Amino acid sequence: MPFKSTDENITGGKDFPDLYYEEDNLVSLTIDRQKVRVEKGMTILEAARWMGIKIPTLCYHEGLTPWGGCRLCVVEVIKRGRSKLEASCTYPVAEGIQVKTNSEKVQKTRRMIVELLISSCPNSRTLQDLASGMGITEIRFKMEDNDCILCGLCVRMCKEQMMSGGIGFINRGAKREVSTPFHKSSEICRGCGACMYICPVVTLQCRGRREPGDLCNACINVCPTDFGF
Amino acid sequence: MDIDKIIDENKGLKIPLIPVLLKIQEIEGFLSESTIRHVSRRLSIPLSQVFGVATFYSAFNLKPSGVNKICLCEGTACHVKGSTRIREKLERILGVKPGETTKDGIFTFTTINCMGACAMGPIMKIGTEYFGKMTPGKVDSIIKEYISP
Ligand code: SF4
Ligand code: SF4
Ligand code: FES
Repeated sequence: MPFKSTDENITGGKDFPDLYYEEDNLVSLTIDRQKVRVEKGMTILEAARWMGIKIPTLCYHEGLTPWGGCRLCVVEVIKRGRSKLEASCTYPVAEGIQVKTNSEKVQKTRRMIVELLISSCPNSRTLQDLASGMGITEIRFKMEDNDCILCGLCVRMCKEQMMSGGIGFINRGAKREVSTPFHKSSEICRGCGACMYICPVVTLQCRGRREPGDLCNACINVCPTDFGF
Repeated sequence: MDIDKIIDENKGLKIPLIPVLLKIQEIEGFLSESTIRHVSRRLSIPLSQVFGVATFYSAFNLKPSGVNKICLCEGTACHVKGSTRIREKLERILGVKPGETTKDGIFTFTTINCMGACAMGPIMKIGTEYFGKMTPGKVDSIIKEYISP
């Protein structure tokens, strides 16, 4: 315990318990070959972002409970010599683990995840931007036209920040969807619009050239002046 | 009311929702919209959450079911052994698709992903009675027995 109180009146003779990190409250791990010590209970994502390492996320939001639904935030976690792909937004930091946030395996998996997501909702700008940002120029899957990727942001937003609970997940497996109870308009929904604000699919499309349902790629293919900004 | 009694008895549980819904369904046969609304109010759980749980588990029915519940296994083993043909036959003679109840209210036809009796596949269950090693030919006589006992 490095910090001792000098003024008995302020702390009642105790050490500063909350103001400073206590030694036994820290774990050390390696993220992208850098050794760090972070607080117990943090997730790998939080630790990495705190170090300034970028990890793309989709179903994660600072103000909401981590959900682990989209798997976009995968990282390689090496523990006792074994490497596993894990969702960093839900994986708590642990002593001695080694994390690779951008290995080849991770990149490959992330590209696959973006391809799968975009093939289900090609009209989402958030997803199109992600794909362009990662340099994905081809989708190996059949394009569908859904309007939800089941990221659960809206459900958590409604419940945790709006204190409402007007919408929820219903059914299971391929029939899973977000809906109001009994598909009728909910009595407790206030119409605040927070669910739409946070939804990655309800984003206005940009002005890139494309047919509906295609991979856009305007950001990487089209001359910027073509956007007409 | 019975439902209120069930809710009061289970209120102390850490997660009372599923036991409450199961017990109500035992008595009423299915979970009606008004029941679900009532449970949500009494347990102070958002309706969307109660509805989500009730639609997630295949153990809950949201529609009234028939007197006899026919359940056909469509697991891997039963599928390989020809459960599809039995399903088609059942659909034809009952005139309903899986998950539906016949108009006369005698049968509810459902399918399941595994009954855990693969050695006896294709297997079908009516009420609590099991019919193993089913063939489309056996379907007629079995159904007839239930229509006119
Ligand atoms: S608009 Fe309704 S459903 Fe959406 S977050 Fe607000 S209260 Fe919830
Ligand atoms: S509606 Fe939007 S926010 Fe809600 S689960 Fe679907 S994609 Fe996510
Ligand atoms: S952001 Fe981690 S799983 Fe979606």
